[in-house]
Amino acid sequence: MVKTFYLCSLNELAGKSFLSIGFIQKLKKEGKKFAYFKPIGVPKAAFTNKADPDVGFILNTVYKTDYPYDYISPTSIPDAYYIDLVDASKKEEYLAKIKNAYDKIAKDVDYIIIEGNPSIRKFVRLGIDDVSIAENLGIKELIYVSTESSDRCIDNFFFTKNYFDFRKISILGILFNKIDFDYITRIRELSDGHITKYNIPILGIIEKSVELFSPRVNEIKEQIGGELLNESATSGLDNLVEKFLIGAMNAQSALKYLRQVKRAAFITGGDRTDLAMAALDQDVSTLILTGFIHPDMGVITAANEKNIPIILSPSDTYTTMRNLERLRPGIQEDEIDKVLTLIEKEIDWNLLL
Amino acid sequence: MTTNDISFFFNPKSIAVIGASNTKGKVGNTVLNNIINSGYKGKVFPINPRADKVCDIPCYNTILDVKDEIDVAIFVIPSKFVNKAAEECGKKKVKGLIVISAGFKEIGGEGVEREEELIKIGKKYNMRILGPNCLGFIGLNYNGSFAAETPKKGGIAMISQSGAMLTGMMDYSMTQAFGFSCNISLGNKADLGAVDFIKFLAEDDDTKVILCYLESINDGQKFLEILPNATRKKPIVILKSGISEAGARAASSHTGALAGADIAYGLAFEKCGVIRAKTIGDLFDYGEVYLYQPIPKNNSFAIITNAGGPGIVATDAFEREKLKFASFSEPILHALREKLPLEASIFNPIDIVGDATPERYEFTIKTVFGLNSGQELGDITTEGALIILTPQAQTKPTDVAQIIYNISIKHLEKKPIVCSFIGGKNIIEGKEFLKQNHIPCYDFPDQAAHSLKTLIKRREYLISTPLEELEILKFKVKKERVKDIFAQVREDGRTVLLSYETSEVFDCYGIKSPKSRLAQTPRQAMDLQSEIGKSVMKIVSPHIIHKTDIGGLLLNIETEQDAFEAYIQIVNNAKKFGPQNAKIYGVEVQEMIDFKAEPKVNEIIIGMSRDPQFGPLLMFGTGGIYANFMQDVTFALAYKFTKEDAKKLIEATKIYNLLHGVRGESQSDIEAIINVLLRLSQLVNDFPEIVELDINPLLAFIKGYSAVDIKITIKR
Repeated sequence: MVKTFYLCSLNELAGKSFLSIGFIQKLKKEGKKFAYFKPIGVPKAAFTNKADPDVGFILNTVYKTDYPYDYISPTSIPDAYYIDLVDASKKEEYLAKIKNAYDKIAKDVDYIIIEGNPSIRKFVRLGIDDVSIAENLGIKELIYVSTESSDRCIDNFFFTKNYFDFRKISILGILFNKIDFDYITRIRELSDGHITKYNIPILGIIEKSVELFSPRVNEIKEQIGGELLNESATSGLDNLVEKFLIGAMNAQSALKYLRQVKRAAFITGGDRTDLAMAALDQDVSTLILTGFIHPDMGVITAANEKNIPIILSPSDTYTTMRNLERLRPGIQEDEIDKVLTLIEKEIDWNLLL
Repeated sequence: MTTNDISFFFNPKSIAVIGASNTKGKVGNTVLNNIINSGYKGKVFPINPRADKVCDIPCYNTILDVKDEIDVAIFVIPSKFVNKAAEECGKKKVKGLIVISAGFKEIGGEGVEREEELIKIGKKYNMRILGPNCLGFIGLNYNGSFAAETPKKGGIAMISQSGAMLTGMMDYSMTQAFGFSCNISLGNKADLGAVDFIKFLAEDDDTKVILCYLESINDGQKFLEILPNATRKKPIVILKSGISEAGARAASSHTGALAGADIAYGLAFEKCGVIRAKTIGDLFDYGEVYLYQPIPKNNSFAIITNAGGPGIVATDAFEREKLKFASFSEPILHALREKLPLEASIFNPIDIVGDATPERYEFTIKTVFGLNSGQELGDITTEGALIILTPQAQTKPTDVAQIIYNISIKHLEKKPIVCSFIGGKNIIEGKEFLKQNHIPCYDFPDQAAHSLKTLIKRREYLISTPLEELEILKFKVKKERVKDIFAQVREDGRTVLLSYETSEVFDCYGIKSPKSRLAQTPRQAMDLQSEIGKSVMKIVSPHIIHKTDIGGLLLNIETEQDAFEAYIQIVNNAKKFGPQNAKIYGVEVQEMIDFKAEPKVNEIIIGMSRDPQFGPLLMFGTGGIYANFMQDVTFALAYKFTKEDAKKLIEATKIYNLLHGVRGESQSDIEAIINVLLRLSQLVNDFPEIVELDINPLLAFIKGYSAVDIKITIKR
C-alpha cells in the first residue's frame, strides 16, 4: 500500500516546498519508488501563467518525471480574489480532477509526497481544503508542519489537533521547520508534556537556515539596479549574502561587526576607502558602494585579488537598503544538496520509512 | 629537498654568466668584467648564443654546451628567457643561481607567475636562488654584480634588500677604513633571504660583523630560530625600514590598536640579540665600533675632555644611554690632583681644561686605566673611555690622536676607546688618523656615547642565558577541549568567541574568570543561577554587539525566580529591539563579582595580538575604559616567554608602582598576574588560530584576581 507524506500547516509560508525538495531527494537516495504531488498549485499571477513556479522548480531540479505537469499538479488557483474565481459548486469537479491525477501517479509507487495548500484553512469555504482533499484521496494521516519559534506553537498544535479530531483525521507527526536557534532547546523541553504525551511523534526540528534563503550578489545587483565595477570578479556574483552591514562608522568599530558575520554585503559610501579596505580583509561577499561614488584604485585592486565583486549603487544608502528589503530569494539549483543534508540530519527517518 | 649549504656562492669553483655581452655599458658586460677584474681564480663561462667570445673568453650557446661543472650561474638576460635558462642550469646541475634580471614579482601580473615558476624550477633541481631583481653578489673571491667598483675587503658582511642602497653603501665605504667580507643584494628574495645568509655568515671566519638593510622579513619564525645563535657568534646590526600599516589596519582589539605595526620587529630583534640601527649612519657607526673595539667587561667608563661644554653634553648622553661612570680609586684621584692644573676637574668626567697638551691627555688616559709606571693602582674600574677634544692653540689634535692610538694598541686590548674630535679644519687630520687606525672618532660626543651603549648592549646579551637554555613553564591544561570550542565557533561561521566560550577557554588554561554558563530556556537559567549564585545575565548573540542598549543585560540576579523572569525578559527584548534575524544562542548566566568588598582593586589590561611575522605579542598595562588613552602598556613576544620576561613586562609599566603599593597600601597579587601571563603565553602559542585576545579589565586584588571581560578572536 502506498504511504503518503501529506505536508500541511496552520500558517502560510511554512516551507512545505523546501521540505518536499528534501523529501524527494531523500527517497531518491534511499532508492524508493515515489511520486510528488501538489493537488492545488498557486500560479504567480491571476490570469497570465497557470503554472506554480515552485512545482516548476521541483520538476526541473529534483523530481524529473515523464508524467505531464497536470498529473503532478492537476489544479491551479491563484491567490488573489480566489473566492470569486472558483465556483464552490464545482467542488466535486475539482476533487475528481485531483483524485484522477493522484490515482494515475500512485499506481506504481510506494511513497507519495503531497505538498498541501498554503494553510489548512485555505479553501475551506470551497470544500477543497487539505482535510477535504485527504478525505477524498482516502488519506488518514497528515504531517503537521509548525514554524512558530514561541510557545504559541503548542496552542497552534492543539488547535490543529482538535480540528483534525473533529474532522476525524490524524496527525502522522509534527515537523518543526524554520525554527530560531534559541527555541530548539525549548521545543525539546516542551515535547514530553505537550506533544509526545498524545502519541504524536516529533519527526524533526529544522533550524531556520540563513544560508539557504540568502540572496546571491547578482540578485542584489539586479534589485538595486547596480553596476559591477570590477569585471575580473564576475564569478563572485554567485556569492551568497547572509547579512547586510552598513558601514558608517570608523574602521575599528566596523571590524567589531564584520568579525561577527560571514558572507556579508558591506554597504558604504564610495569615498569610504578606510571602511572598504577593512571590509575586504573580512568575510564579505560583495561591497556595495552607494551615492554613485567610484572608489580608489586600491580598493578595486584589493577586491580583484580576493575575487569580491564591487557593486556601484545608483542611489544613496537609504534608498539602496529600502530596495533590498523587497528582495525575496528562494532556494537555488546549486543548493539542493544542502537541503538534503539538512533534512537527512534533522528528521528522524526511522519514524517515516 | 632543498640544500641548506650555500657556501658555493662564496667560493664557487666556476661561474657562468648567462647573457654575457661584449657591449660596453651592458649589464652582461659589466658583470663579466667585474668577475675578471676582481681577481677571480676559478673558471668563467660566458653564455650567449650570438657571440663566439666575450671579453676574449670563449662563449657558449647554452650552459648545457659547457663541459665543465658549474657552481654558480649569474643571469643577466631579459626576464622572459630566465626560466628556460634556469631549467637548463638545473639539467647541468648548477648549484646556485644569481638572478640579476628584473621583471618578476616586482612588476605584478605575469611577473608574479614567472617568479613562482622560477622557484619551482629551483626546488625541482635543488638549486638555491639569489634574487631575482638584485644587484648581484660580491664575495672575497669575486665580484658577481653590476656595481661600478669592487669594494674594499674587510670584516663586514653587508646584506641589503635594496641594490641601490648597497651600491651607495659600498661607495661610502671607499672613504672609510672598513671593508667587506661580502655584499649580498637580496632582490625579491624568491628563495634565499637574509636569514639564510646570516646563518652561513655566523660561521664564516672572514666575517666579523653582519650589517643588514631590510624592508621586510618573510619568515619570522625562522628568524627567531636562527638569529639568537648567530648573534652569540658575532654582532648583527639591522636597519629595518618601511613600517607596514597592514597589521594596524586589521586590528579591532585594544591590544592590536595599541601595538602598532613596528613593535614586533623591535621585540624580535631584542629577543634575538640583534642591534637595531635607526639610520644609515647608525648602521655604520655600530658596524665600525663592533669591528674594531672590544666588548667591555663592565658598564664603567671614563670621559676625558678638554672642554667643559662638550663634557656636559657627553654626561647628558651617558645619562640617556644609561652608561655608568667609572668611580676612581683614591690613588688615581690623588695622582690626577697632583699632576693636573688646579682648575681641572679630576672627578669623572675629567676636564683637563682648554690648554691641555698631548702630554696631559696621555697622562690622564694612562692614569685612569692604571697604565703609568710606578703608579699606585688601587682598584681600576675603568673599562673604556670616551675622549673629547676641541682644538685650542695648545691642543695639537694629531699628536693627541697618535697618543690615543698608541695607548689603545699597546695597552687596551680589552677596553674600548671612542673619541669625539669637535671641529673642522684643525682636527681633520687627527680624526682621519684615528679612523684609519680603527679608533672610532665622531663629530659629536652623543654619537660616541651611543656607540659605547651598543657595546654594552652586546655585553648584556652575551652574558644573558641563551634562549634554548631558558626554562619555559608548561602548565597542565585542557587543550583538546579548547580545540573543540574553536571548532564549534568556526562551524557557526564566527571569528569572535561568545563570552561563555571565552570563560570556558580560560577555565581550561587555569585562568580565573567569573563562572559563566549558557542557558537556553528559562528553566535552565533557574538551574544555573542556583549553581552559580548571584549572577549577571546577558543575551548571547554574535549579532548583538551592544547588549545594554537593547535591554539584553540584567544585573543582581539573586534568586531562581529572578533568573526565570530575566531569561524571558532578555530574550523578548533581544527579539524586539535587536537586529532582525539575529541568531540568539540563549542567555548567559555569569557569576557577579562583588569587588566592592575587596580592599584594593586595580584595573589591568592584558592582551595579545598576533604579528604576521613574529607570532603572538603579549601586552600588559593599565586597563579599564581609559586603556587606550593612558597608553601605559608594554609588550613582549610570547615566543619563549619566561617568568623573568613576565616580571620585566609588568615592571616596565606605571601601574606596576600601584600594584606594588603606594602610600602604605598592600601589594597586589603580582605573582598571580605573572601566572596569568605565563598561562596566556601557553594558550596563544598552543593555538596559532587566536589572532587577538583582550582581557580588559583584569581586576587585580591583594589576593587573587578576576579576568572580568575577555575577548578572543580566531582566524576563519
